[in-house]
Amino acid sequence: MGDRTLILSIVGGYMLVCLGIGFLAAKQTKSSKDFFVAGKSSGIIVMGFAAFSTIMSGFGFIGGPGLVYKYGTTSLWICLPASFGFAITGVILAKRFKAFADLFDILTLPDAVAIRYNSETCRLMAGLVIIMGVIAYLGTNILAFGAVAATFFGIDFTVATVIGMAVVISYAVFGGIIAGLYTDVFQGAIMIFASVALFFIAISTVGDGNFFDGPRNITEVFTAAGEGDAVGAWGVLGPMACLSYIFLFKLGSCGQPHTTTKLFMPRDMKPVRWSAALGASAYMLCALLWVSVGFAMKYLVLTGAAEPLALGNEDNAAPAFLMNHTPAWLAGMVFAGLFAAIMSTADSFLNIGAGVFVRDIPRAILKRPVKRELLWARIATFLLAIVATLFALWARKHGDLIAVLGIFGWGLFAAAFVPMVGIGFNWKRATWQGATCAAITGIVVNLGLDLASKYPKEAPLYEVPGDVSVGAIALMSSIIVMILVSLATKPKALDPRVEEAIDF
Amino acid sequence: MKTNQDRLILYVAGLTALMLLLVLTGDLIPIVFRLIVHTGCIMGIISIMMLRNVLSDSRAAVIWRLYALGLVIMSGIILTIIFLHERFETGDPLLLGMEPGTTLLVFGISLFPFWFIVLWVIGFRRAIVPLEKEHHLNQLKSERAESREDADG
Repeated sequence: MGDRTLILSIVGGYMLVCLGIGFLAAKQTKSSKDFFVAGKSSGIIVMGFAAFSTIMSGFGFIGGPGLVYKYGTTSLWICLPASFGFAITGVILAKRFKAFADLFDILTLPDAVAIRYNSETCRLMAGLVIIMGVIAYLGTNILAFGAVAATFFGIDFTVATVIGMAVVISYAVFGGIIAGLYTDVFQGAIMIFASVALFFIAISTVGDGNFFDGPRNITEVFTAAGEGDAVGAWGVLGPMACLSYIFLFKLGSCGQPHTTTKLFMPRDMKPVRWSAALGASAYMLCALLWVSVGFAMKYLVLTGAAEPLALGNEDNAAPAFLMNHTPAWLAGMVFAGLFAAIMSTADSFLNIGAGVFVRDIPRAILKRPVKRELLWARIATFLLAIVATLFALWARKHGDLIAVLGIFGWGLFAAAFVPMVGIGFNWKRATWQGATCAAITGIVVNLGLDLASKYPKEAPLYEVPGDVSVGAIALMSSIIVMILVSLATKPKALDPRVEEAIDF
Repeated sequence: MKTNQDRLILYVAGLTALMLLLVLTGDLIPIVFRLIVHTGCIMGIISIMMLRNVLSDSRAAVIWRLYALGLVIMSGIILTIIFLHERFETGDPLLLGMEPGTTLLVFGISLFPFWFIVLWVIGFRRAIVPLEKEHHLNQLKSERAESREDADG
């Protein structure tokens, strides 16, 4: 069997398992409660794996190595705080979300927000942020899928994208979040194995067969090539940018709706206590691929052992390393891992996006639920996938790195939801006006600064000092607005059960 | 009247505003000063948000202290990285094959998630959700289920 056939067989087998899980999950999905929150009956392993494999998306597996290739050590200041973010989310939100899920009929994040603030305006605002973020973030993952599949299999980008989304749609539409959770466990296991194995191969390749010589070789070659900044403590973007990433990716993790929604799903407190620790350690193991492959690929380029990646094509670092420097059986596993990372995130986004259309917008605007919620949820999932795919194909010409788009998506969610959820569920004095203004501030600052710092392309309107992340500035602004507006407005009396949950 | 919760959130607002000021003023303030204050603000906000959610009474005082100590050590490592990086010149000795600041990043910061897992194992999980609160929640949940059954007839 040739290398390519072996790799194709492994990836094909992986896709079939995902479809099989979707088929089995479809049998268990009998209500919208099953579709959106898996019947609120998930255990420790499912919760831990689901949380980390949802976060470790195409952003990390494809964009991460690309980011290391371009900016060096700066990228470590993203993946390390992101793993710590699981602990933050686990401590400041998990128990409260479990309490809310037990005391109220909550299926979506905007449901919880509406109950916490006793405000349908807040529900609508949360829903709109989710839709904006889902289309952008899902687009990022679709682009990652297309980039990997098109590069490796030598097929047209559009065809590659459509095939990948067809598989995701197949299990997400019929199996809902139950399929998502089960595939997350399967996908998470593949991702951990692939990352650890590839880490040792990448560093050993750089060390000429000796793993322990790898770091020294990287430092010496990069320094000799005049790229010493890339292996310094802060990387190419410098210290202020790195500190802004610590803030954005540590605290911002509790504003990511695709993971926080999963906190409504545990069957009891055991997963609440353990899932954060499991998620953090699993994420750290997966980050080994993110870091090692980017450095290894750049090292090979600097030593003339590999062709340089064209400017703007740094996202090909991982696929290029896999195709040329990895045994075929492992490349097959890692490619399956790459697809797993992308698809596990994509199905979560489809699920929370469908929830907004079917549950939150009708309740916020029409003041009533829709009939046949499960059927409409499936239709909404399908339509959302189509829209996001079209958006991704349209956005492909934009030219940003996948990870840069991912950071933007993360920043958008963080700026809107950290104040509304992370602070609002920890502070009784928070008001719906504060939460709404904070979300609007987050969106406006994020979009405004992002556009102003990029356009016009010849001479952008604004240069962010010290390459600080736009998302971090938006997050800082929205936190300040949330607290000041809440203090300036009169809080509504809280439902006693809401008080119980916040005091939990 | 301000509650204890209000006061903590006001600290968060103050630290966040200070960070935003440091970012927007750019090079007007010396970089090392900016980095030190910025690090203090980030770790301060994280500490406030997390430590108020961890029991500090007699049942979990040790865990609380160990956890707080972890946050202090992490701040110390970041500050040390700042100083090591500022002093490093090309050609200076490497540490484990890397620039000393990078070594501290790789073997310092990256170990913290595992440090917190150790804390989780030795009892941190009980310090987040005490058993009596869990029982109380279960009681509220059953009452809710019963009242629903009554309403359904």
